[in-house]
Amino acid sequence: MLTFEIEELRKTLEKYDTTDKLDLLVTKANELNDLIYSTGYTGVIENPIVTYVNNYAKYCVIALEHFKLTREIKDLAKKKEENPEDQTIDEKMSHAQASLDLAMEGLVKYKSNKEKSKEYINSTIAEQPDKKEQATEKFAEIETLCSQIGHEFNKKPSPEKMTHEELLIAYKNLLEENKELKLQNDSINARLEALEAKQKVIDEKKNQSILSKLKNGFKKVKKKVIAVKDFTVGFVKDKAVPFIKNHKKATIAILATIALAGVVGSCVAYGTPLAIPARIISAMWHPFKLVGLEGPLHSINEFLIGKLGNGTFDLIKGTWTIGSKTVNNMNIFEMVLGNLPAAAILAGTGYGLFKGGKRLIKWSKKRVKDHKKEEPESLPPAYNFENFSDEELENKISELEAILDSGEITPEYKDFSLDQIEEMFNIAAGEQEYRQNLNNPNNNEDNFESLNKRSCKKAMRKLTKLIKKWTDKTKPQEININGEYFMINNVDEAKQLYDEISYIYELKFGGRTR
Amino acid sequence: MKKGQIITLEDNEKYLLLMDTMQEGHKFFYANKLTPDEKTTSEYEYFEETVEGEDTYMEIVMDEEIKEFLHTVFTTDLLDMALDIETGNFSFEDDDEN
Repeated sequence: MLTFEIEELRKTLEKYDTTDKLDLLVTKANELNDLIYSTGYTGVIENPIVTYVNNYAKYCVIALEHFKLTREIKDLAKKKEENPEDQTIDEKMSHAQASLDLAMEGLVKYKSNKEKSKEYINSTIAEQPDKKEQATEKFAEIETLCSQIGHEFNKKPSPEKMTHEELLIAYKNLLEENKELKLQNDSINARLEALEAKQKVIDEKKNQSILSKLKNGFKKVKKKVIAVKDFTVGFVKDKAVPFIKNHKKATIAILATIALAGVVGSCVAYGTPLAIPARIISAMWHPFKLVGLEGPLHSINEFLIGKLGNGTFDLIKGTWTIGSKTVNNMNIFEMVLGNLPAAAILAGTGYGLFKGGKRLIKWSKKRVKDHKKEEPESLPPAYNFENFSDEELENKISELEAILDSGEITPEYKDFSLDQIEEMFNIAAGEQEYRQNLNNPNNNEDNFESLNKRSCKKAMRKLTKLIKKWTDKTKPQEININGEYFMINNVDEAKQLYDEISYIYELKFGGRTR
Repeated sequence: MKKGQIITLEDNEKYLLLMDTMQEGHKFFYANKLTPDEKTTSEYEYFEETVEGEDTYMEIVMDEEIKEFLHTVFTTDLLDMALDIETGNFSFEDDDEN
């Protein structure tokens, strides 16, 4: 009868309710053993079948140990992330790593041993022509059984056979798996939400005018394509890839300030979920911090904190919590740098769309402004500063600003309320900006980035007032910002405009506007 | 034509096709103008692709309303692209299905 070093293996297999395979293995091994010895085989000191099965059994046990240790190290690494100061975790990790190294050595050793045993058995069988076929078949069955036993270790053990400690580990692992599944689910839902929002935006934008133009034609300039080549082969390989490789810091800056601004801007402009940039920021936080570029990233964060009602950002961990969800582990940064053509095209597209958006805003503003010229407004004398000299206008603005800052109405303005004085101030400051813009045509060509500190504060004050006093929420309102006229269709648009200006204010002049 | 390609037009101007979209049977591209030695510039155009026989044409969109609409489409597509990169699904070979 064969004796195996399999007590350990049997104990383990009992937890998996699969000892039947082990019993079958013993039977088959005995049969092969008898078969070989029945031919008068005396060539070895040690029984080759015993050696083979023992090696396989040892290999399986060590493989299980290796699996458990790998998992333990992974769990410890997570704990260390949560408690970086805890030295006991380091000790445990060091111990587990040493055990893992030993297990790896064992795996290599027993794998090699069982292969040697296999070769030996095969050579033994080959020396017995009359039993060769039968012996080969038996050995194949043994190999299959050994392999099946090995695979049993990938199955979950039966809970009632587990010790308290093993149950605790299994419970923790299940919690972890559940957390990962929830994160995946959140990610899929966010993606679905983004796609639905995208489709909605496009459908809403595709109005009758657009549809009619797409059907009946619109103004275009036709040019023949005379050559085509693959971008990825030429441009990316020769230019973009070397650039990104040699200018990692610059690439990070490009991706942060252009692509991310494009993504955030798109979310704001088109109402798509802000959780996406929040996730991206969370993923980029650590590498950015490493190269000292977390500042610009946090400017976007500050903006998002304002936009996401119940969102908070943890500066140490670099994680966003939105409602009850914590978003992290989204290694978009690595993904982007790992896919250089993608990084190049993303940066390029983000930049272009950012520029294009600015151009279109300018065009829209111009359209409203032209309309304004057709219907000039007649102002009461106290509000009309058109005939003031530049110096008189500046004095008037300073005077009105002093009243608004102190909240005390001077005798000269005793017939006016603070609201009326503010209105006067707005008109006077608007006139001044209009004149400045006339003198400097480049000054108003972009969006709110050209606003100075006073203009920003004034625009925010105007918008706050507009939002508060907008009684008929369906009636569009017109507002003058920095000499440009904006048609605002509803309160949400006004709030959005406020947020954009407040963001610019925070970026350019620091401090919080909320 | 597909995104990720560099095209040369009859006036020898070169463009990199960044993104594409199908809208009501029209195929549009968002493209970045390149210098003769294929370096990027800060000029971008919206093209509509048309095919006549064996010849392919790119028609520069001049209508501001259509441009504004396409800008919305491509900007929302940019979000998708960011997500595709994040999930490792980005490829120049992907054909747009919209």
